[in-house]
Amino acid sequence: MREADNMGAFNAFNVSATGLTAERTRMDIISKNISNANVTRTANGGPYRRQMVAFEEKTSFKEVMSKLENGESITVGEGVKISKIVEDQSPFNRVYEPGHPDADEEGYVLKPNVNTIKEMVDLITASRGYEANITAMNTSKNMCLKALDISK
Amino acid sequence: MINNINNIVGNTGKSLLKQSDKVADGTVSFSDVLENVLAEVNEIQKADIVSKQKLSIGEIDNFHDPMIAAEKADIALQFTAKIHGKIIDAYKEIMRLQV
Repeated sequence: MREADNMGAFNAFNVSATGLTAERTRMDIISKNISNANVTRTANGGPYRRQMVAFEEKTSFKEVMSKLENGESITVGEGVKISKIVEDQSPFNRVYEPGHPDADEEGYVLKPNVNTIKEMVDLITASRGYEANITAMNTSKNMCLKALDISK
Repeated sequence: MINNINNIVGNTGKSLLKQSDKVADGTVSFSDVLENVLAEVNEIQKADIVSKQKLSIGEIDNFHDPMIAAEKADIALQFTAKIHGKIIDAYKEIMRLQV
């Protein structure tokens, strides 16, 4: 299966697939942020901290080796991958809510640093990114199918 | 005649071939080429079946991987069908030659 997967003909498919997976992961994190937008108590203590994903270019071991061997600086690569999920270090929102179980002596509650509007914008970006990858994949599929029409 | 076909394949189809395709005299056998290509297409089909099974029992991380596997299998199969048609055409053409 691995050998067939590495066939050059389907390389564009595999690259697009990594993009789709990356956008899905981003989507997961955004959903998590939105669902935790009002959480004032977490396992680490304190309110929930907004999370973000960082993307990274994906290269295979084989490519890195051939780069070293031949001194080539540009390769096709294998697409994208999630390098890490980081926490947003911006300050929490301090809201006056005296009856709240997590309120301090002055009646203030620390709310997560999640801005729902920002998350909605990120949501659109992730969704459009996913669509773009699908478009790229469909285009390469159509190119493959067009090649089959040669001499028809 | 078959040797001639083999030689043609040996000259034009080199990029498709692996080291293992080479027979003893350094030329490439036509049936080996066909077998290798078919084996690769079969692998892709198998990958598609595995991902469909996983999809049906709910053991998936995402929906796009099974879809992509299905597309790959579809394209590979169409390609194989094309090649098959071409080979049969060539065979018929040769069989039609006047002796």
